[in-house]
Amino acid sequence: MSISKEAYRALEGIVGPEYISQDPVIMDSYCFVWGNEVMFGDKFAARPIAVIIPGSAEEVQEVVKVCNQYNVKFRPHATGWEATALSAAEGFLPIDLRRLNKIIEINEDSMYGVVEPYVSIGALTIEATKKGMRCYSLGAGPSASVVASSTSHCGIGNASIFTGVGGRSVLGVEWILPDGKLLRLGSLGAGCGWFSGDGPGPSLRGAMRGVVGANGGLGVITKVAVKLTPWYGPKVLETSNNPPSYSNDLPENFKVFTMTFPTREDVVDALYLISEEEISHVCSRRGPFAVASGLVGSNEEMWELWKKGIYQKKCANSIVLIMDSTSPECLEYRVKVLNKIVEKTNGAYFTEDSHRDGGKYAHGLLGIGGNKGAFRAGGTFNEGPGAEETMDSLLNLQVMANELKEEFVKTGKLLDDGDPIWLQPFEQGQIGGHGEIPVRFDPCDKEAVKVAREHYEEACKRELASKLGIGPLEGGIGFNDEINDTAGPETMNYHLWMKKIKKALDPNLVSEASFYTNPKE
Amino acid sequence: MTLEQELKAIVGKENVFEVAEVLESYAQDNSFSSVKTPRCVVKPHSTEDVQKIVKLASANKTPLVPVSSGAPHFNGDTLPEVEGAVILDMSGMKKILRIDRRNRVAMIEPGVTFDELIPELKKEQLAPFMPLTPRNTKSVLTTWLERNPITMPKHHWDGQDPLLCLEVVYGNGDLFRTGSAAGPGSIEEQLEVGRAQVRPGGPSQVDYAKLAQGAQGTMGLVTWISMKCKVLPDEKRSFLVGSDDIVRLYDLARKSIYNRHDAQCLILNRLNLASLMKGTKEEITALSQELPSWILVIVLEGGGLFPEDRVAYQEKEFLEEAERFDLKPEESIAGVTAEDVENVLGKSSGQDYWKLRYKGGCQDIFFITTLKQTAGFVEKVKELAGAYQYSNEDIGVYIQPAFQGVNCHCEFNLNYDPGNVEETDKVKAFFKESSRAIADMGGFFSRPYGPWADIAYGAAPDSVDAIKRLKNIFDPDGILNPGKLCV
Repeated sequence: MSISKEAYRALEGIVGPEYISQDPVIMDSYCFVWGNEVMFGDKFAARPIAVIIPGSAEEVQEVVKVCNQYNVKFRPHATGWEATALSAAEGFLPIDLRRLNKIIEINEDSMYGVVEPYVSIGALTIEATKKGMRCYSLGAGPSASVVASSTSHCGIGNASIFTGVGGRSVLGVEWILPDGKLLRLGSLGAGCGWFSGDGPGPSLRGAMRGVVGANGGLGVITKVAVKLTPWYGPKVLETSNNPPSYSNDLPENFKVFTMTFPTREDVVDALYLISEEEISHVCSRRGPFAVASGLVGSNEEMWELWKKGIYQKKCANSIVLIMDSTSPECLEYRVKVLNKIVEKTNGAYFTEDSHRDGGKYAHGLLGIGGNKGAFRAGGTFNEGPGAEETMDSLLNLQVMANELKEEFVKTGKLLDDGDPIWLQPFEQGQIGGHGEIPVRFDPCDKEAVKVAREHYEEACKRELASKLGIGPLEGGIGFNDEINDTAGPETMNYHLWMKKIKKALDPNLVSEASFYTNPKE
Repeated sequence: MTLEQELKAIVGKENVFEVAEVLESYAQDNSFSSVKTPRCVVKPHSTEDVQKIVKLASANKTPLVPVSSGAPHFNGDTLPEVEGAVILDMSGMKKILRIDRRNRVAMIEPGVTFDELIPELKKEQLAPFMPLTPRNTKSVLTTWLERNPITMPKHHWDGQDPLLCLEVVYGNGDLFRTGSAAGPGSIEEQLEVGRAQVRPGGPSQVDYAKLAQGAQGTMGLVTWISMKCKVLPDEKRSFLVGSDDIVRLYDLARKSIYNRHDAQCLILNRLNLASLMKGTKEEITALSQELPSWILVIVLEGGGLFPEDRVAYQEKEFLEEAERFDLKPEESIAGVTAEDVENVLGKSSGQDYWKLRYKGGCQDIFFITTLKQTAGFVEKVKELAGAYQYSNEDIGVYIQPAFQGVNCHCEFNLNYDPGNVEETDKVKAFFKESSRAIADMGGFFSRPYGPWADIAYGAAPDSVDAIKRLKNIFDPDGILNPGKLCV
């Protein structure tokens, strides 16, 4: 695909020559993000046809209208954490939203924040904590966009048990539809403010996103209001150590625990009880590699620690938990409950490192720290089977996924990092939770990339066949028509309805949908 | 064959009603909505029945108006707005399909009421989240499908709660299941691998349940839902906090929500509390005169491993905060005990619906706003009542914090005697002007029944366009409750 001179001039007329470019050096910087290797078999995706950086929602709307006029495929791009943000097999126009970077409002009375697309989870969290609140947590880390994670992609993290998830935190939304029309969801559309995203009548949030969003395949979100959740810690969480090994002093009313259990079943039983008792701010089952990598400051340190074998042996089935509290009595009660849960589920507290250095956990898990640990072994990772439902079903997923992974570890191209499943309860377990199996490998080793891709494809097949889910993260990573068309017939033909929605909202099919759906003409 | 004959072939002749008396009963409710008498009433008893009826209606371009609750109805959403409509009365679909203690979820059909569900959940040590004391004929499914608020804001994580997944028949007769219930596999196959239809979004990149919710049956006919439930509390501690200044109650309510107390938390004015607690107009009037103007109701609930400890620390925090705000939580006010209120909140209203006890008729105005803004709406409605020479003492007010404190449901209940034509006309005019004034002040009619549709959609033309595009997908022949909302 290319862009005509007329279209380019029309776009240039909107943003000015300094904010549109076809310089190869500039454009190539838009075709490398995490996940490209597995998605496209190459570090670089197709070069964009141009790059445009509008400075306001009004300019975005004008750009989208011009794209419709000249049949230019576009995809919005905020912080661009992974392939779904930027990559495609064929060139398109990335609408880079980095100039839309304002926190518009933090409403203390009604506990919400309003942001533009380039505001990160970390930026909103830091400002919100000054007012006793925080943003939902995100596994992608603090540099990821609030708008992208809440409206257009995933939105889950280690604190989802307490904060909930991004997609269910959405209130008012300002949305430029693929045909250039402005749609403001909920109370915003009625001119009442940002406090609700549902109605009047049916909630159009449902068209905007499901488990995950349309990954830029359904227009451009230019503002969103998200629910903020309570933060019982200090207004400013002091950070120590040197980058990237930051650490935080854990507030006095917080505690961190690592618990180990003899079996996977015990872990799941404990997660059910912890969820129901509502005693944690952060709580997840993490693999031994993830537990260990949360504590170290460098790859060398990690390797030394891993060689000792402590974590592989003692943290094969473990839960990391950060407890917060609203009063000393609350903390005392919660510790008492946790002790009882550990006792009932045959668990034990793991005291090697976690208590001594809880600050490193705090930095990573509370949502302000990076996700560097995920890249520590090999240099990258990809997803295997992943789903969101009850913890019991995710236990079955865990068994299936580990059998699958063991088959591929035998190739010598995927790291043998123990049972790596991340089990993450949502909303105190009331809507189940999330499970995913990361596989770690060297992105510079083409054979390893090929094995990771084969593993991914096999994961999709087995997950579907076992009725445990419809694919890794149900659209989060690399969902496309191929996966939708395979899963749809097993899942109420959802893909056919999705195509109709796409066509209804994007009649000219200009909102590039490599990671959404493309209705056939 | 006539349409009626074809309907009888689907559900049996005993489930199709054409008698004028029956038809008239479906052509009236307690709202001021205009109405057309339906052509007939059909009562399906299964999803298959519903699918067949929809396909028949689609082929004949026959309007279908779904009803799941029993009378009395209040909002006009179950009244036909076009000629020749068939009422699809699903109140006979009464199966409680599943109760799952471990995952705190239940699956129910449209006709199940709170009084039917509560004892069954109790056997499994569960309880439903409750709207404010529903009428005894109220469908649980419709309650959540229409986004009624729950009394425990802590558990209202999203506007969709406590609804999780649903099964829906679209306007062309296609069957669909939303969320994780969509699959892969049948519900039985999902249960075998431990899935329990608990994840609300999706499947994949669309949230189909959200598109059906709040749609007054215009986007699809829902034949079951899964809903999240709470653990049956072993320990409770209840308080009434009175004040003549509503604003003084906000901070305490907000702090309890902020601390994530396991609390039912709502604010009532004295008329509504009296109406909930007493049976006759005289009793209500007498009690109302003794109560403070506003009452914050807090019910702390403790379940799980150490329920007493759980309630104890929350009670201590709550009382300390109340003292800080110079408020006094009481166990009893004017002879009404907090425990009695707690009991009323945990069940249906029984044979006589509390909103009709005072004068026999009640027109609600409800909308979404923020807690901070409610006082302004109260003042405005009072001012308009004066202009209409309508007594402020006849207005009930209910304020329900929602979405974990982000917003709140604000409701005015305009009580009137339906046998008094003059008063009825006065309330009708007062209702219309108040609704308009509330919208002008920023009240959001998220659930736009009757005349609110014009108000809400008039302010949101971009939503109208998008809804119509989606309606064409899910109801291509326009047979599902035509005339409602903006479609």
